[in-house]
Amino acid sequence: MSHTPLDQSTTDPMQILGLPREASEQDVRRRYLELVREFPPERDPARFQQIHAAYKAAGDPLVVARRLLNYDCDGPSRPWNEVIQEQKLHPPRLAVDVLLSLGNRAETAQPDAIQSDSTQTNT
Amino acid sequence: MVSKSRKAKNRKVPKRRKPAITSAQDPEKLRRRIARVRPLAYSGELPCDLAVFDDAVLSQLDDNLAVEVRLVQAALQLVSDGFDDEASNQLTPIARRSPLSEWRLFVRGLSDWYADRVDEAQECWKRLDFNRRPSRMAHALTASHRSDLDVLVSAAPTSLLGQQADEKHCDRSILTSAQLVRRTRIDRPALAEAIRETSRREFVPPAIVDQVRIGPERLNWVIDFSKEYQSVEPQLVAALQAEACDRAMKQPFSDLNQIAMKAFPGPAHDPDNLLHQYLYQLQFRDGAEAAAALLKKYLTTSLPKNERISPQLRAAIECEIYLEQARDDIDGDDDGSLLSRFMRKPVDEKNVDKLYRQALAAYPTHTVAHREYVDWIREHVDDDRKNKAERAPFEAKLLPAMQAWSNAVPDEIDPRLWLVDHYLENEKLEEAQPHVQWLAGSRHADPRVRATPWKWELLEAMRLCRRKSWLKDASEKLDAADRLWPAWLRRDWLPYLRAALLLRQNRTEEFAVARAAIRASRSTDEQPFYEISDAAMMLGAAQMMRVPAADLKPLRQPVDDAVKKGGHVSLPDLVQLAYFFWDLYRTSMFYPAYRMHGGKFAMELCNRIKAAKSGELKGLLGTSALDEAFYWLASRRVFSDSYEFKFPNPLPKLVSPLTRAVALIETYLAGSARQRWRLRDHTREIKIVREAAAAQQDPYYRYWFGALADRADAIASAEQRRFSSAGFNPFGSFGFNDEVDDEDEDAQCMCPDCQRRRAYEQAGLPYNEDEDEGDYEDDDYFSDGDGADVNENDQFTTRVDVGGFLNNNNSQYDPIVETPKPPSPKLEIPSDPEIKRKRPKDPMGKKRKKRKR
Repeated sequence: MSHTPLDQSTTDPMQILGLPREASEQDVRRRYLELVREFPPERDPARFQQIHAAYKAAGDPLVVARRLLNYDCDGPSRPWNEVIQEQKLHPPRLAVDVLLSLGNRAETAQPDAIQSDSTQTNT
Repeated sequence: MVSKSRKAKNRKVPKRRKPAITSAQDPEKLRRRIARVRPLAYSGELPCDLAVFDDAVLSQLDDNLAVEVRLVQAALQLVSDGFDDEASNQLTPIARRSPLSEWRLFVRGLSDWYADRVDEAQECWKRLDFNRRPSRMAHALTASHRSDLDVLVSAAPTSLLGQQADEKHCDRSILTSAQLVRRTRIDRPALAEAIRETSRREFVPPAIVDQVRIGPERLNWVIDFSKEYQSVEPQLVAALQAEACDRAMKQPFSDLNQIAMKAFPGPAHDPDNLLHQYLYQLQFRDGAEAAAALLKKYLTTSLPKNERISPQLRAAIECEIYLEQARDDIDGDDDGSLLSRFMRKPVDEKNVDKLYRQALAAYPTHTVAHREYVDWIREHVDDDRKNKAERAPFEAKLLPAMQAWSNAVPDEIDPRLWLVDHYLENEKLEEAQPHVQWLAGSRHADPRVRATPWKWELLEAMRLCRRKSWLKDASEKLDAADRLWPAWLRRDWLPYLRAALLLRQNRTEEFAVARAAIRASRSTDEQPFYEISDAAMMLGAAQMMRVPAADLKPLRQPVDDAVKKGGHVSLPDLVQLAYFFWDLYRTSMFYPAYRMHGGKFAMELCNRIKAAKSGELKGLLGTSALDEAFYWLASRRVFSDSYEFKFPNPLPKLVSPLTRAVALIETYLAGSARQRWRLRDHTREIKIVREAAAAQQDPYYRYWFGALADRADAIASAEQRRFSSAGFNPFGSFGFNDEVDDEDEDAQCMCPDCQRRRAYEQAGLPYNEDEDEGDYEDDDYFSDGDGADVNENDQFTTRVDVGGFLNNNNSQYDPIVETPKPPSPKLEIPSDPEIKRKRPKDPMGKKRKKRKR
């Protein structure tokens, strides 16, 4: 989930968390954990309080429901460039199958690697 | 002899060299590879590692190990979905001695690596055993950042044994895997394509350029892009799809919107885009039927089965939808104008009641919904224009509504205060008792809550007056009420209550003495005696203490006379009377006759204020009673003409801004839901009241002003949201004005011929009506910003029904199935006479409402 930088000048919980309007419950939680890691209470108590309050508000099902249902049909559209630049900051994560395949071993390469490894171990 | 022309024809035209595309830039190659790769076992691999991706091996493992393997599988999926913390938590049950502890280390490092904390990742991964799969995966991920990766891949395997510890195990297959990671996460050909395509200007006929946010060309590109890159860049694809949907929603071309809604998955709460389509349809005047069908489908089919959101959110969405529908039903077609006030249809009260009940059934702890429902019922119960029979059904609804509210939201004091009054009134002491105890023990800031014991004693005294045999205990209760009398409430009424008790006890002589004492105390040199306020206070006390009708008659007479001959009552007397009524209002202790004459006195006082000379009013301004009188008048809604707040003419200059602001807010809050939306235009007044709350000495006003500001703020904010978005509001529009459209139909005509003519006129080119339809080849309109001709086969797709787009004829085009390509690949704007005949009068094919609020 992409997000924008923290906006401290607003009371909108989603803006404080730097999340888009349509962010899901999971996105809210994930972003909250990210921010807590970034601004732990011992380092920046005020910011932490703000983030925590925003998370509480954004997590209220009624607040979320109202946000999702109030669609601004006349509002401005985001420039395409902005949408893509936001994605640029977040490279895709590898799918599980692709990730596991990184550990594959070509049969031709296998003996060499194993041999060199075992040789070193023996020596 | 071969002619020159034949020579020229036979000459081989050298093929234009395509620019070299490296593998890093070749998106097709990457897609193929991504689709092909899968984890493969190698000889000697441990079964527990194999089991992570091979179910057959997993089924052969012993139970404990199999459980841990499943945890690893779940954790890998969680990391892939971006839930790093959840993934780490998932693996905590795996012990250090377990063969699967390698996976725990790997997952921890993987989360760090994804978060660009490479050093932390290395720290985890350096402890991995190279003969295990997690280590090989970690090596591939680490190597993907190497600048010399391509060189290393092309080199011989034996040369790969580097000097550094982390390089010595890198065999060719690891480096090839690292290349794949680099292509996917660093080179990102899809991102490059997205940047290239979206920076290109899309052709839009000039006549509608202001309305188009996404045209058929861009929409088709997003569809194709999504198909191609879904597996490689799911988040980028989702972001582009969301933006395309958003743009399609914000433009008045329903065929394009339909395509977007069908082609792209919706957000988690609306995966089928039913709600989006419903919101879209609401904006069209003739879209109500389709919108209702879509909403029904969403509420009955899609939402209950949606497992992607929590049950609480499902319930909240359902509740909010019903609530908005109830509000819209109450609002009706009232756009605030004088005309709509007279033309609006009567509210379907049964349907509103049903919608409120459905909302509360979906989410019983929704305080706002409870309050709105109760306010709506009270509005009808207190409606003086309704007779008893008309009020009866609403009165019957009030008790269950209050009970449901109190049960669902136990911390809410309003329903409890009302229930205490109701139960005591109906002699249901046992049912009232728990509420009284709760309120007495509550530390709520509302002074009325702390005054509950006082009210209990007073109401008990009144209840004991019902029977002669109980009368002896009534004076004791009245003494208790006297001791507990709240500091914020005047004690003026207490002597009247004592006198009324004497009358009820048939101690007429003592009653006469008590009356004389009251008169003497109220008539001083500083202030004259106020006949009517005295009479009303006596009548009210007598009625509350259940004085028999025969004894009540002489007490009622002066009040009735004053109602009939209102002009004879002095203005200060009326103000004192209003002050008394204000005390009754804030303690919710109305005597029966109040319903008969309360409204009449309110109107009389309002009229007298309007007619009063400013000198007369200035004399009253020093008395604190005047402000309270205004507050009571505001609660009676006399400052509203059922349209907006209107303070009687001389008052705005005479009273303080605070009094005016309080009167305004109270007027709207006490008024109907149809008027409350106006509070959004009075943020200044809300601010005045809020700021004044903190400065008040009186605890009642300190709390009440704050509560008024809070309620007004909540309504104003909700209305701001509803106003700024189409949401469920039937007045949402794209800003089209029907009147302008109708009057200026020729200028706004969107038929292909007119569009083409306007395009030519705007470009300053001569327009030829006989020109071949759609042949724009030589026109400059289709050039992009760089001057390059974009009217090429690869630039304009014919898959979207462009004619439908322009005519907005709601084409049933399915974007997944390709329509046959027309002979010419150019953008064609059809001018089929059939289309012309069918073209609706409204240029956009839809009548839209203009929101006027």
